[in-house]
Amino acid sequence: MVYSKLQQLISDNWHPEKGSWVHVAAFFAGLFFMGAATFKIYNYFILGDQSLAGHFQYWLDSGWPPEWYAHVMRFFQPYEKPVAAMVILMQIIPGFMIMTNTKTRIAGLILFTVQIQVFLGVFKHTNFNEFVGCSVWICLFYIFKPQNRADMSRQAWKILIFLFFLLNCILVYNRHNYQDHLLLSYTYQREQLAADIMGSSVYWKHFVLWITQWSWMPYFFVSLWYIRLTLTALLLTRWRQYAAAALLVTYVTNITIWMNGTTSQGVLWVMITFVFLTHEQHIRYLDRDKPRRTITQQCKDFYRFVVTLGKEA
Amino acid sequence: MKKWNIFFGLITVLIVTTEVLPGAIGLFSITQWGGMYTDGWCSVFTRSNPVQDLGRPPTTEEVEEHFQAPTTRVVWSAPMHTLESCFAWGQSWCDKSHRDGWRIYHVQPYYRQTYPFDEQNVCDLPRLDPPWFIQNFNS
Repeated sequence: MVYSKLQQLISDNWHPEKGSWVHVAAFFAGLFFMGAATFKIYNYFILGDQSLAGHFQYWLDSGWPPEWYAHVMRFFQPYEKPVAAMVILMQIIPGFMIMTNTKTRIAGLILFTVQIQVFLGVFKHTNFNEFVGCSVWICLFYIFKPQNRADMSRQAWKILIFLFFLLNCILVYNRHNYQDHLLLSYTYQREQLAADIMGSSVYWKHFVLWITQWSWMPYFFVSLWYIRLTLTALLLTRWRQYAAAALLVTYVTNITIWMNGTTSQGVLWVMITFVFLTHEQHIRYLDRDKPRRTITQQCKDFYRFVVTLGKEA
Repeated sequence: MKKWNIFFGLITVLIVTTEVLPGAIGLFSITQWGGMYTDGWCSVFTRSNPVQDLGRPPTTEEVEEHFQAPTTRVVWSAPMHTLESCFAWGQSWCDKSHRDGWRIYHVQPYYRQTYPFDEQNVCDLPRLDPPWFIQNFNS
């Protein structure tokens, strides 16, 4: 009885061809922002050993915000409790709205107001550019996305594809700074994995440490950076959904291995790629009858686009 | 469409089990789901005593030191810890001789501005097996 009712409920509401996976991704994205808000309640109000003003001060001392925005941060520092309460409300309410697919454009706009300020607060730090940028991208996605997913402007989606590509470029650049592309990085990365990192399970961690003893593994791990670079480039081509799927696998794997090292940064990469991929796949399903353009045609279009921009400039 | 349904289904399961509710199925869980800075940085206060069988004779009876995690070069971000993983990280220092002639025998973890295990020496408590962290020093 219960089983058949459950089956009926699923068949009534579950329509992958109408974009159900996009909604699953929205559920996770909304839940993430709700999580971010609830943990702020714990940190700032219940346990109270952290403060928004303290975080602001750390960013200011590190010289991360642009000078004009540093003035804004200093202005708000004395009002830390009301500002913290406002930030929490501006994350938890739109998070719930996105999770339940209710007025998502308004929710995206409210969240964007908060996240863009975090982005400015840590503007001169490329690691933060990358993963705070992910949260800004998610906000922009819900600002652009109409309630009916099929109505999303294809031009808006192209802009979001390009921004997603840029974020992946920053990630590749940051990983370059950590020397992922060099064999010599293998030793120190393995050393940190053993001494300071915990993965999803201690057995999984020991398995990874065990296979990383094999002589060819350094070459495999270093090749991952070049694979990621290639996949990032492929995001601008018609194979982008396969590239994004492969990137998503690397991000999920990354979290399971480097869990306490990647923390929310790793989760945001999974979130943004899942949101991107489910929407891209849905758009492709809707446009399945349209003729496909070859890579040569795409290059020609891009060339024309650049020439037009040049003339306008 | 079917292959994508399978792929998205698998990713959904992985997200739920490894990121949203890992603790529910016994996986390691930190508050990474939006919980930036909710877990803390871990450090340990250690006491070492001399090891007699090593060539260089120690000059004092005991050495007290403070180690802040991570002690290795950062690969992603400075690792965050739960109370449980801070305990495990503390235990990974027990019996390590981190320089000639000295062996750590007493470890007191420090986490989120408190000593969560009071005065207890985590080296005297039952050891985790397998160990969560492996310090690259001789034991």
